[in-house]
Amino acid sequence: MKKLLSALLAVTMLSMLFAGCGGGKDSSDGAAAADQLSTILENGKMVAAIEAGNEPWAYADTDTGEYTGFSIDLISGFAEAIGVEIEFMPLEFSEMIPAVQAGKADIVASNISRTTARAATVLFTDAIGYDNCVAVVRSDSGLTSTTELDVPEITITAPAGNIYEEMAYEKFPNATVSALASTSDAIAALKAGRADAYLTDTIQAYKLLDTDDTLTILPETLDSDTVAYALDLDVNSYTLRDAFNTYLKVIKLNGTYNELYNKYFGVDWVPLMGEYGA
Amino acid sequence: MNAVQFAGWLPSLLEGLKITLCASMIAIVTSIIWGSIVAILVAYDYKVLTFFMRIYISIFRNTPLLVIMFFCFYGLPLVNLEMPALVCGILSITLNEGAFVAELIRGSIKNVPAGEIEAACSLGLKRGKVVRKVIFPLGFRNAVPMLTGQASVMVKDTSLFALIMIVDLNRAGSIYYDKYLNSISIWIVAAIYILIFLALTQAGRLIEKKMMVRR
Repeated sequence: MKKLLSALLAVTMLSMLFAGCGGGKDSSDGAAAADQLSTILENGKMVAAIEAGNEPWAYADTDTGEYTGFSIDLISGFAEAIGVEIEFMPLEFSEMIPAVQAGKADIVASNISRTTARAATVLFTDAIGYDNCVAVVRSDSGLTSTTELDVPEITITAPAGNIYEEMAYEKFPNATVSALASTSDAIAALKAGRADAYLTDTIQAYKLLDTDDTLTILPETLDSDTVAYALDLDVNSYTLRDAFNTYLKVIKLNGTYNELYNKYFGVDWVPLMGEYGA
Repeated sequence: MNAVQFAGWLPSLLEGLKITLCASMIAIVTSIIWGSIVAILVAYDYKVLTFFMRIYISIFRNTPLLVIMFFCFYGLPLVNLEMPALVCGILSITLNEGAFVAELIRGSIKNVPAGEIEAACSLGLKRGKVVRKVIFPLGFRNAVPMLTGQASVMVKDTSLFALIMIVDLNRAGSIYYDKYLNSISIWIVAAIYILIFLALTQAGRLIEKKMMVRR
């Protein structure tokens, strides 16, 4: 009994210790450390955490093996503009934020959905792009509109870790919602009848339709959200974020952003109404 | 994490905890029962049945649990054999871990002293009765410490349910992380798993104490 109690105490103390680390960096080294942008300029190098294998945002080119993609080009252009080298750190989605919070990477150069809840924990840049959420269904399922999805017999699935899962809980409260780890799992689930609709962004959806012709996309757009890069929520990160935002505004005005957009998404960039403020 | 965020997360956490605990308990019981049956069939040495049981053991010990789960979850519906996700998961764990349990019990059955078996036979007990009343109870008792280890493995196996569309404890931790990008929830879930394992180990020790024969 004593051993169990002491083990329990140890575990509780351990979790409280990590509770302190979970929320953000210690504020004790705030004043003394130099700000992130100055450190990067001094060292001449910036480390960007990316999520490889995420076409067309960041993926490894099959011929050269180098990283390429919309995110890669964007952050590389920024590094070149301020005159530093860039180093890429490929990580999983759940490892990226802890990496910047621990200081191992300077910025997360991946298309993270920018939500208010997340803004309390990480520092977002301006929007680097936006997603529209659509529902992919089997062609023979007889579903023609997203209004038909809010019934108990329907199972909706979304990529795990994506904000669409939470949106699905709110928009379709009567349906069953569950998340799946990857796109290929979702296709298997759709085909096996485990899921009736798969919520994803339009880029992924059209890519799915290219590879598989038994699927269709329902016409309505369910949600629009912006994606942005993330930095550590620390008093020293703001200069780096502002420098990046300036770069974004500059390239949007001078046409470089549109070139990148065409290169990786195949369409012209049409600015959203509020986008200059976004 | 403050009280408001925690209150919002609590329903998912409790749901995940409930599913993990229930699925683990059911999987432990069914795996041990199924593994015992297989072990007896193999030890008893029926010609044909034993042969098939040996094949079952070697296939399901060497196939990763995730492959079995995906086969049940995605593959079987394609031949019109659709089961609820939770049934798929528990069935996969039973088949996979059952093979390990069968090997454990078979090993400890072999170690039952020959003297006990001879004594039972000399009392005139038929072969079936000897296995049921003497060999299996003694063999099972010796295997209990290793079975509690397997029980811990089964609890860890249930964390794979997140990949077949079940919200278990593991996934509940991710739900909070995806919303706030704050990894505290994952640490909390890890601490809960450690508490589950501690409880399991203590229960295992109690069972061992009760089953130990005073020599």
